[in-house]
Amino acid sequence: MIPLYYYTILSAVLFVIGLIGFLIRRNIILLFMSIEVMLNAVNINLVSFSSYYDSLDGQILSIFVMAIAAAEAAVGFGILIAFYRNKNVIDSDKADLMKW
Amino acid sequence: MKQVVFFILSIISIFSALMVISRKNVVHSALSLVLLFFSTSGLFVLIGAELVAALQIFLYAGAIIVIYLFVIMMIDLRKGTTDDIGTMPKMFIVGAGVLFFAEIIYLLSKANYSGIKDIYSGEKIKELGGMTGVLAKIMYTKYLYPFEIVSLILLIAMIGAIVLAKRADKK
Repeated sequence: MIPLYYYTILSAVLFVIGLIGFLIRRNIILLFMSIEVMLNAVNINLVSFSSYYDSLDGQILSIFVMAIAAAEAAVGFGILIAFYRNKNVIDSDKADLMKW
Repeated sequence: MKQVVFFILSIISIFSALMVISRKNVVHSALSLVLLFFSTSGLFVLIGAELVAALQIFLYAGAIIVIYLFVIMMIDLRKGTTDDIGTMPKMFIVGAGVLFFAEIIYLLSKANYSGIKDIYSGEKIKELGGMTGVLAKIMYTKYLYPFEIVSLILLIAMIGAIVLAKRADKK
């Protein structure tokens, strides 16, 4: 049997990798991919805890997380396409229309 | 035996996550993301969550990666982005990330894992007729209301994506 803390440590590592990727890249597509990495880490946590406590609530919650990730990708890419059409770049630093 | 499989899968997933955030070419990042999803789904199978593993492959490695590749195809990546911040902010961000990781590990070492076990052990699920049936029964009774909300969110996301990506009327 694999101890529970193996899974939590793996999930923490993946979450921090996603966080660093979100902060150091400027390409908006890469930012979405980093969000997917972080959501994946959260899913690992939910499923491992639900399995170790013989409960199924965590697995259902992880299915909801997947559905929300799909919705987020759809809306985010809609915004990205509109942004690219206006500015011809996909650099997140260039999105400064509402900056003082 | 299980631990060896776990270590192999976790090394693959950490490696592919690092590849996702470090490649210059976005297509390589997307393919590393597929590798990450597959290894994560292997981890789910290992812990006994087969339905979530299958959905991970259908939804993430199938649907979402296709959206990513479509968007990459439509955008001119060569002049679209410079993707460069200086070395100093990069070091600062990596340091902050390592600090955050240390904080998580500290909290995990302080937590106590003495929760109350629910009834759905492996034998009980086998007795009730398999993971999918049990999960569906819970989802359509206890979690019916969140399920309906998620369906509404998906509908709104679909309409929103169409409205946002539609070309504005020509003058």
